[in-house]
Order: sequence, then structure tokens, then C-alpha cells
Amino acid sequence: MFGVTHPLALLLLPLALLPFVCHGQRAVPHPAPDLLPTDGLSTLLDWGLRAVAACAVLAMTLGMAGVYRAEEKIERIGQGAQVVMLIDSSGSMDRPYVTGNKGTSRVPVWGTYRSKGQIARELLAQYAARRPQDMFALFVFSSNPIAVLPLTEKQDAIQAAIAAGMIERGLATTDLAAGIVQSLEYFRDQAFTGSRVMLLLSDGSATLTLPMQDRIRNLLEKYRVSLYWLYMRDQHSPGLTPGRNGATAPEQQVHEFFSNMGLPYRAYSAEDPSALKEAIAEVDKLQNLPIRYQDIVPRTDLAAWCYGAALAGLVVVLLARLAEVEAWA
Amino acid sequence: MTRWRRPVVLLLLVAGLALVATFTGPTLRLRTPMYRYVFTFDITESMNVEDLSLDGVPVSRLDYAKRTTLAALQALPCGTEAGLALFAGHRAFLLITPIEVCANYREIAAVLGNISWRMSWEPRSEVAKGLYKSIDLMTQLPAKTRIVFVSDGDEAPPIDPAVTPRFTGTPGGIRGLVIGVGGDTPMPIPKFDDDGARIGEWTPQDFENRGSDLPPHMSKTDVVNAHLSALHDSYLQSLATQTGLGYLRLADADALARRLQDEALGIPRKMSTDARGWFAGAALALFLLAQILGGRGPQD
Repeated sequence: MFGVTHPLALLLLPLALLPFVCHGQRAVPHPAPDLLPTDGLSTLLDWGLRAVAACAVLAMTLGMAGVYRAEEKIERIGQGAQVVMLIDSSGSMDRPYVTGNKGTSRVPVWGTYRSKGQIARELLAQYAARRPQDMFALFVFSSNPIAVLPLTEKQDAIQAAIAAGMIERGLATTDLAAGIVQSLEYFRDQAFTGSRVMLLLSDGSATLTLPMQDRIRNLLEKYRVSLYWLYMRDQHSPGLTPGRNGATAPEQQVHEFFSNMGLPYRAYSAEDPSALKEAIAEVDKLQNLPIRYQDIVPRTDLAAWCYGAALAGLVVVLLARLAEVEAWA
Repeated sequence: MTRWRRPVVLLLLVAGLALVATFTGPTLRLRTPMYRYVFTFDITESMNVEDLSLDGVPVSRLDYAKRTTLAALQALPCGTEAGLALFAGHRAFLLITPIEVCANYREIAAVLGNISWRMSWEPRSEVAKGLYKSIDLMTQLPAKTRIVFVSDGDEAPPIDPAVTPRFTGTPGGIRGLVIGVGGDTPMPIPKFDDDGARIGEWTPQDFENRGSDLPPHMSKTDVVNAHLSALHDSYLQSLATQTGLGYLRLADADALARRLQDEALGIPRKMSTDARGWFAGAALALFLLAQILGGRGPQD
């Protein structure tokens, strides 16, 4: 489809008729023009030159109006996925990464360090930027799940949604189950294009009740979603692997439930930023199945073509004027 | 050669040069204002009161605010950037930093449409503190951003006169608008269950029963009226004055769109605009002139 940037300029279009009124050719006096025989070639040349002049006027006017071919959506086959990012926004994500025994009882002042949440979002932003053909959605979960952005391929919006959570502190507690269930609903009414991922990013966990476990399993299966849990292990967490007494910590129980669902699931325990980066790189590699996706061919400016055509017409007219005689030889 | 010096030929030559110049991509640097806002929506319980109507159908204050804002956004010029945030408790939570409204209209409409009282993280509604925190949030954004704070001004619990919240920022340091939404007659606040289904309204008994749970500074009348809510128009206005913001009582999208394009809220920006059209216009005028003059007799 075509469009114009300045529709008002189109009002000048009738000017293209001017060459048919004013021939623009030099008149040379002749005592009796009526006696001259009609010359077919001359008539043709006359009207041809007028037509060229009219086309030049037309082209200049269209150029001024800013003619363009509108952006188009075309379907391509490529690599990519539909990714729902579910980000823990609890207060603990505001703390810095603590590695080894460097932990002190002192609470650092917000703004003087990079928090776990900020680092995670930075890495997710890079991940999203590397995959322009993917669709991303963003969901934040705290005491209540907060739906931020539905699945979209617009990088501006994706980056803005990821960045928003880096500005201020997170909220209070976390409700993992409601977050998973509600964010999975983003896949409802979406065409299945090949690969669906839920990236769960959290640093702690909550207990999932049995009815909630059922709902989560059903939804993951129904929407055919692979679950990746990027677990940003806290200093005091025992990790995801059950110890001698079985799965005792809440995160271990959740991990056990996810593992036994019989559905695609991977967990990555990331104790520091580089481990998290590696985990994201792994997901990046795994999710390269071919999918159908919408690609946008951006609007193309056609004014340059108009000016080119106008210039060509102008050159023809100019050459014609230069060829005109001043008097009958 | 004399034929090169003919006015017609010269006109055509200059017109040709003007057309050639369009290929150098000339631009014009214009100082045009742009607008960048973060719309912060009060999602506390009182915003569920259905005391407004759209197309004759009663709607809640929050729905009214959302739909009117979306309609106003449509009227803003392309290049305007909008971000969205929530207010509950005593703080704002940024959902999305400002993005251009035309290219991302579908996304903005979806994020705005999703905003719901169910996202709230705290039952308290400390409007003054929430406004101050929202203003503070704007100072932390990378680009200069104006605030639009949409609320009914209903403080719950009422402010303790002994410890009133204080604004520590610079009044007018962040510009923007406070938008009041709601009706004048106090109405009972709807009550919902955990699944979001409406189960009637709050009653005075709900609060009387809580007895010592309530803040001690609440008077008897405060308690009796705690289940009611109306738009606190003058209170929001005073908050706006105190923080150096403008105030608008939300009545229709057009009025909001006009206020959002207020010159004082524009952010000056030098923009390069395509100037090829001017060159083409000159070429066109010269070309037409040559066409008219060229046809005249030799006496010219």
C-alpha cells in the first residue's frame, strides 16, 4: 500500500495540466503559418514534449507530497520463539549478589550497587536484543502478579518493559503460583508458531499448593511451553538439589515438582552474574527451532524516485529548449 | 553560446540543480517540542467505585481513567512518548518506561488495558506519599519525563495530622499534571473476594469491628465514613500546587489531550526534518515559469 506524508501537496497535482495549455516552446514568426502543411512527426514531438513536462510536474508534486510504500508484514520462516519472561520482583532481588564469605550484616544503600534484579534484567535485555525475530512478553510477580507486556515483537516496547524494573526497588512478597498461571495465559489466542518458552527468573521460591500444581502442569501442557527456571541462588539457600533428607527447602520442592511433570523443563542455578549469563546463553542455543514469524518491511520512501524521474523529464525538456532555433534558417 | 543564456534555459538549469540537491538529503533543523509522560494510575480500592459513566454505562473510576487516557493518547502527535506506572500503598511501580505512541500503540493499549486493582501490592492508599514517590521516580529516569498522576485523592487511612507527609523535592522540579477522577457524592467502596468477584460493598460495620486495628488518630466520623469515597478535588489540587504540578479534573479525553500538549509541558527538542520538499517546490515553480515563459514570442 502507498501513502503520502503531506497530503496537502497533492492539491498541486492539477498543475501537471499546464504543459498542455502552455506548450513552452519558442515561437518563431512565420508570415503564414496556416499555409504550412501538417507534419505528423512535429505534432508527435510537440505532444511528446508536453507529456514529458507534465510527467515532470507530476513527479515533483508527488515527491513533495512524500510518497512512500507503507510498512508491510510478511511471513518468514526463521529461528525464534515466543518467550514469556516471568520476573521475580520481590525485595530480595534488590540485594546485591553475595558470593563467598563477603557478606556482611550491613545493608547497602540502594543506588550504590547493582542489585540481583538489575543484573538479571540487564542480561535479559541483551538476550532479547540478540533475538529480534522472537516475540517477548513480560510478567512481574510480587504479592500479586502484574501483567506488564503481552507477546510482542517490538523491541522498543520489550526493552522499555525490561528497563522499567531497573529504576526503582521491587515490591514485597512473592506469589509464584499465581504468577506462573497468569503469565501462561499470555499464550492464549496466540498462534503456535514453533517454540514457546517460559523464562522464570527468581531468587527464591514459594510453596505450590496441589491444586495450583495441577493448573500449572495443565497450562504448560496445553500451551506446549518449555519451562526454564533461572534460579539466582541466595547465599542462604541450600540450592535446588535435594540433600540427604529429600526435598526439604521450598525451592527444592518446587524444583522436584517441575522435574517430575514429564514436560520440557530445565533449571539453571546461577550463583553469580557470569553463571546467569551462561544459563541465558544455554537457553539461547536450545531455542533455535525454525518458526514462522511476522517480519516487518519498514516503510520505503519513494520521493527519491519521484525526484529522479522529474530530473530525467527536466533534462529532456532542457535539451529540447537548447535545440530550438532562433529564426528560420 | 547565447542559447545557454536564454532565461528559459537558465530557469530550467536552476530547477535541475534544485532537483539534484534533493539527492544530497537536505534537512532542516527545527526546534519543535515533544512530550514524554509517565501515566501513574491509582489502583487502590476506592478507584473501583462506579460513580462515573462512559456512553451511559456506569464505570469504575479506574476504568474511566484508563479509557479516557487511551483516547487522549490517540489524539497526541506521533513522537510523543508514554510510559505507565501503578500507584498503591505509598509508592509507584513503573511498568514500562516511555515509548513512542504511534509505533507502539498496540503495546501501550495492551499494557494500559491490563492495569487492574488486582495488581495492587498493599491495601493502603497514601496518596500524598505516592505522588511524592512518583515524582521522585521521574528524577531517576534517564530522559526528561513529565508525570501524570491519576487518582481520586482518597487517603486510606486518613492522614494523621500529627505526622503529615512532607514533600522533600523541589516544587516544579518535575513538571506534569495531577488528574482527579471520581464523583462528588461519597459512595460505598465495592468489595471483592480473592478471585476478583464482586461481593457487595464495604459497610461501616467492617471498620467498627476492626476496633483497635485502626490507626488511633481516626476519629469516630472517620471510622463511620471509612467505607465511603468521593473525589477529593480540592485536596488533589492542593497537592498539585504544593509540588508544582498542574491540576485537571478528568471530564473528557479532548480536554486531557489539550492539557497534555500544553506548551509548558513540552520538552524542547531539535528535530531534523526532511527539507527535500522545499527544493522540489522551488524546482517546480521554476519549471512552470520556464514552461510559461518559453512559449512567449521572440520579443522576450
